[in-house]
Amino acid sequence: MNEVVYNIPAFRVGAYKERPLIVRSSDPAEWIRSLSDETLDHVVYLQLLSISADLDPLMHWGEGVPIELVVQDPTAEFPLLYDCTNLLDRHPVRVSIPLTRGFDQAAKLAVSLQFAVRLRVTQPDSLPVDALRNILHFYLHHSTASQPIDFIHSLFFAFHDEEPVTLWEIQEEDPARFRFVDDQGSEHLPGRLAQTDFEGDKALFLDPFKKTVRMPESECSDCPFFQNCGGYFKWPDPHYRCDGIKPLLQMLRDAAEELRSDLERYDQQNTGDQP
Amino acid sequence: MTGDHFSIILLSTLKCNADCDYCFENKTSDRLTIDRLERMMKKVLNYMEEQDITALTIHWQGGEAMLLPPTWYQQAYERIGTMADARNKQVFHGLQTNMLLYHERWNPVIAEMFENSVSTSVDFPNLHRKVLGRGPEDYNDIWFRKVRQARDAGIDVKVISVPNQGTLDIGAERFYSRFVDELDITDFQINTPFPGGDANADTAGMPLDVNRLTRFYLELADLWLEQGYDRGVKIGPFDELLKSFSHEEACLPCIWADNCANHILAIDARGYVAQCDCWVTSYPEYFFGNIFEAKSFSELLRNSKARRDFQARPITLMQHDCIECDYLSLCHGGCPVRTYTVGGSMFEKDPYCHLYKSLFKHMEEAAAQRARQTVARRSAACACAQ
Repeated sequence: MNEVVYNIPAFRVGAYKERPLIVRSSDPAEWIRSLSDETLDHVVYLQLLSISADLDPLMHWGEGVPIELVVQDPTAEFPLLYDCTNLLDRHPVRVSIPLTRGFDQAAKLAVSLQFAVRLRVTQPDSLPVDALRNILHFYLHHSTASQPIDFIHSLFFAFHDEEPVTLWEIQEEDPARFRFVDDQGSEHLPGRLAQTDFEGDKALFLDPFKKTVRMPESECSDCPFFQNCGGYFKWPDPHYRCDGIKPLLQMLRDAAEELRSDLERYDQQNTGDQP
Repeated sequence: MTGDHFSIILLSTLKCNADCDYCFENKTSDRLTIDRLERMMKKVLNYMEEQDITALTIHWQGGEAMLLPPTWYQQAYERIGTMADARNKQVFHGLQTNMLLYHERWNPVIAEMFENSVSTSVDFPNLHRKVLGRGPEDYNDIWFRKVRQARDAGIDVKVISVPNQGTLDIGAERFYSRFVDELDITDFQINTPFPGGDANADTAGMPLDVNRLTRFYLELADLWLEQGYDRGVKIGPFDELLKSFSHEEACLPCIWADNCANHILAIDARGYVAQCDCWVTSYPEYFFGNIFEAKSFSELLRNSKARRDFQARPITLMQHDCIECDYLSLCHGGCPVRTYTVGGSMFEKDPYCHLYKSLFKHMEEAAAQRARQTVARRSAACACAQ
């Protein structure tokens, strides 16, 4: 069984020794002060909450430790990614972008600068589906898009490999795998679930939720994507209609199946195996 | 500027033996002495240590770099090597020269310091490159003779060529055949012209008509794909673009860097530091500072307002239409000096945008076509073997 990964503030590192950690801060210098080499061995990645922070300390420290740059306001902040490109010389870097206005430009620029991307899904009622379709098309069909854009990328490979990986896992919001620790030290469910009061076993939180959204007659009950979605877009509003999302998932699955089929045909042609 | 490697264009002298009409450089008689080179390198190596940079490439040029004798470069090579070894740093050297002063006494230093390779320039037709006080024909005569001698000595001679109005008039086919078939130049790069430095009658016609220049580039690319690629002919930037679109590691020219301020600098013989050779020889208002006067190289770079302008350029451009471009990842708004010399501001996109986009699309399609042909050939070969 995989260990739980804790997203903690940098100043609480001492309380989470030898556990897999996402260590967040707005100031890179704080990591340098608080993380020993031993602790760094347990760091899954460092999460920088402000992309306008002074990045110089990271140029000569913790080489190879992955970093996630958190964009808060895509429209205002996306050009600042140019100031972060030197980080790529020393670290694998992913840019985390909320699915709000301007996210598509931010994602496109991030990929163009060779950053990996994670799109943070926020409130379903504000999902900018058209922009998401554009970025999906960019990921699938532009030869210059050579970096992963998650959740799209991991879901594409889940479809391609026919793996039952869910969006909750891809987005690091599966409570069985991830936890969020606030500045006061209280442990919460991860990501969008963090505001939820839940007294039971956090690792099991999603089981009743999935059952609820999959009740007979519900939209999820006969959804062909449920295996990989797990009702992800039904949070927090379980009545959110996925009419805009499902065609995008279908487009992604069609592309994954087309690739699988092409590769199989190529293998057959080159090995002489006939179907 | 960080990473494992960075590059400096080092102008060992600002004097030149040529008198090219479109040259942007303000030539002076300044030349670098070995003592000053040592002082300069000490600061550069300090900077590399501070920034944890392992390797440096020095692109030597002028003025005309060969106006300093080969013994000077031998001395420079040894001093820099000793200083770099003591700091556990690597330094590589490249030489850009007009070749007019080349003779066999250069061979040992070219072999040792420059890995037996030089880069030079010639245009076809040559309208603008001249030997001081003489015409383009004399330049050509000397250049061809010297290049032949260098090649006979086993030196790899790479060539940069800048198209002019006459190039567009003769067309890509004649140009290709002149370079590849007649002159046996099989490794060359085409650079777009720009009106750097003081305006004169020859720079007034720049930039060239972008549509005609685009057509020339695309036709030349096609000729290279049809006749040169499989023979090992290299033409920049086509070869590296083809690699890039084939998802191979590619080294694209600096005009398309995400931000050239992060990758390269120029230092002239007087110690002035600027973004590249054009800025350091033509635009004092854009100097970053003087390395001899600055307390440290880091401080010079950190405190330079001009450098901050360069760093801010792509950030500004993204707020206009570059963000919508399909080829953003390859270009990032293009070259600041081409932009500045045409429009008077660097905060615009490159005036050759149309050419670049057309070329990117063309090479993207070529790469896709070659990939399809490769798959078809392999499949056909397998079918035959069964």
